Amino acid sequence: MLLEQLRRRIVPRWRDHRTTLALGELSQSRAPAAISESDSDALSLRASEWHASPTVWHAADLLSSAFAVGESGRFRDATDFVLTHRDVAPPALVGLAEKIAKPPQDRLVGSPESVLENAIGRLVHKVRLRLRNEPRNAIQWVELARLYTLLGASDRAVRSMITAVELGPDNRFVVRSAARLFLHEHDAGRALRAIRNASGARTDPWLLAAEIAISSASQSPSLLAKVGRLRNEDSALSDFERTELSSALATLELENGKSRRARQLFRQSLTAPNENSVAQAEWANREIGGLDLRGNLNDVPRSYEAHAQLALRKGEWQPAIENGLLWLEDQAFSKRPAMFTSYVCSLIEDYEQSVAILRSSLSVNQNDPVLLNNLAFALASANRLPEAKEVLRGTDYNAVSGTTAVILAATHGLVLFRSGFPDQGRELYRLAMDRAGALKVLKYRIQADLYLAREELLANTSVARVETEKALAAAEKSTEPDVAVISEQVRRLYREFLSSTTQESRHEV
Amino acid sequence: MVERDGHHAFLKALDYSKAEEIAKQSGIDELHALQILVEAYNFERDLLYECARKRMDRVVIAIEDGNVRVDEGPFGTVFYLIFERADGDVRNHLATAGKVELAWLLRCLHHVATGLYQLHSAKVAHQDLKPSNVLVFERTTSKVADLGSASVKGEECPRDAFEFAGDGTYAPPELLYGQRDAEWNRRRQACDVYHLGSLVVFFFCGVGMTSLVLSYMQEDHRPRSWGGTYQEILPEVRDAFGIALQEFEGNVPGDQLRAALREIVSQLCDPDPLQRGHPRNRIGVADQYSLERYVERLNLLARRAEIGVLESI
Repeated sequence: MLLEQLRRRIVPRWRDHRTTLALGELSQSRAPAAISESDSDALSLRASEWHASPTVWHAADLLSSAFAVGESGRFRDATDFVLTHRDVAPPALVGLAEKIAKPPQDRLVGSPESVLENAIGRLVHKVRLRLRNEPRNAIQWVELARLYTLLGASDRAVRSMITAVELGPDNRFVVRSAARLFLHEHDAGRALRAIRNASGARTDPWLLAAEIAISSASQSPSLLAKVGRLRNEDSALSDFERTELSSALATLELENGKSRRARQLFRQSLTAPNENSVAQAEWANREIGGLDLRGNLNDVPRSYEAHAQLALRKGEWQPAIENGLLWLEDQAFSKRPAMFTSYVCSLIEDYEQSVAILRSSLSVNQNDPVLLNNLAFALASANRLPEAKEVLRGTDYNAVSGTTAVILAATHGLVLFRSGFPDQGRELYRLAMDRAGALKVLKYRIQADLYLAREELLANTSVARVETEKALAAAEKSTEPDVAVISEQVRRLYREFLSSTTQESRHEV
Repeated sequence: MVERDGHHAFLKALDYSKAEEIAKQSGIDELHALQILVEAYNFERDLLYECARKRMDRVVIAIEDGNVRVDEGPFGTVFYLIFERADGDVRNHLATAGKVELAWLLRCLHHVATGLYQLHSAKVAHQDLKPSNVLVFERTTSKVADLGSASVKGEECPRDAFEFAGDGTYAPPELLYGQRDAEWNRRRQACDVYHLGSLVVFFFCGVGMTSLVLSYMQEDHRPRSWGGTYQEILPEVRDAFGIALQEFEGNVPGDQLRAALREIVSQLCDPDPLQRGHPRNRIGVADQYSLERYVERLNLLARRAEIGVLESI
């Protein structure tokens, strides 16, 4: 099993509406406008009417009017009056008075909730019930699309999202969610159309960031990068509003080989980041270095991805898994957190958890070759061979390309080893190593080499000693903790192998 | 309050002191402001007589107008309008009647809808319907009052240049978010339609629809803080509107009435003026904002409540 080194782009996150609101990513605020003189006069008149006739209904009229123009805080006496007379006041009025007296906390971002499949079914029912009464509610269509995505019903998800975009083509939540789903469904063209057709496409920094990132992910030129650069310089934007835009532009610069400019922009994105821009900077730091994330990690809500990746780099496996699981719950439809967390679980030989994560992710990302490969690896490593073979059925290591061709060849080799065909297995491991060499991904080559040694040792082959020493020597070149932990496993097996061969020799003597 | 032929009546006099405020707000001299005030008075007076001529029995109309000599003031005279005296506005009735009968509430809403329908039939949009502008006469009859903010289709009206002609604290969401539609029906009549729905909500919730909707929106999405367009925020408003409708339902007694009023309010208060009004009125050449169907439905509901077929509060 290998962790695919994917190039990261700051594509929009897709969470439920309430959480996205609470994270502040849907704000487009300005300094509160002053109340107009005519509104102020109307409120004064209503206040005097209430003082002349201090009844619940006059207080209701005053509070209702004041709340509409954001001035309810001025009429504490009317609020208290309603709360004191709650037994005769309509419940909705009492509710409003309570909200005025104690405004709800807007920015409370809790941990993501793990949603079980039957709970998703109930949520689908609830949302559909709302949509029966509110068929034009674009936000609820997005929610329905998200729930369908979690259930793996991608056709229904896409249809729901298309309806949402038709109903709310200019709304940031709708457009960014739609872009994320369409990208997930490998339809970058539709994702980009949704963004570019929005009325705020050329001004909204969150839409500009999404357009630049998705264009890059789909290897197509961004039509709005130039506008985005100008907008990024606009001092009217707050640092938080610009965080993803700066990050998307930085990634673009990095892809164009302009590391210095990329670093500057990443630093700008970290002035007031969200978790996505922190994760992007963490990834960029691995690529080009020179970025300091320490100040951001603990202050940014839901920065699980960055925490998980940093923990992996430090070899802190348990924090890596814990944050990986939270990342997965936060972005349950995404395969990246599933790949990451299952990889770390497999590293520490917790194959059962790895299998559970991968099976769950495969229900959403059906037939994804990397997820299938990782699942087969975990199953074979846990000696659940029939299941591993079943998973690998239909996969062809010659029909894929890139790093997927490396890992798939290696995993087929693993299954052959465990099935009692070491020669054929070895051949496939070597094929994987050659492919890794051709792709110039040394880490992949080293890991394939180590896993081959593991299998040679377990199969007690005649070349086990030679292969192991060669693999361990090659692994010495790597400083990465995940390579080190596999090396340690191989070393442990090698010690056991040596001691058993020594005992056998003594026995023979 | 004045007395005419032994009957008490309500007098509304032209308030010259407002000229200074208008002059300050509009950046004009005070004489010009006075001229505007007098034109507004003339407009309201003429409109009231037009309403009387068309026998609008659910609109409060003037019974007399004129002027009296005064020692102070710019012209040495004050213009006035005299209206039939009401028991009070609907808030007074709701407050004093104790346990208000459902039949009364529905009949009042039926009368208000009729008043607006009568105005709309004469191409007049009221634009300022709110609880204080619904007057109750002899405890049984309700009428729509105050045509000071009204607009007449095809005519230049004193408050047409205002961003929002009526009371901004009762404005529909699109106007609070700054969306101005140039088309008269969508800007003026759609506003009345919304106000009628909002009044229904106020009767049962004690809160107007706009406030109820905004109470389910995050602070920085509310009109005073929102920096984007109405089209951008509309899905958020609609989502909050859905929750507000659920809350409204919770404040209405009886399944039958709840379902009927939910449908009425959801159509009248739709956050998108293009979707407002009865769905059948949006087909073909029908007047999208016609209140005729609502007059009939509210009449039917009131009648049912009066004969005890609907549950009482």
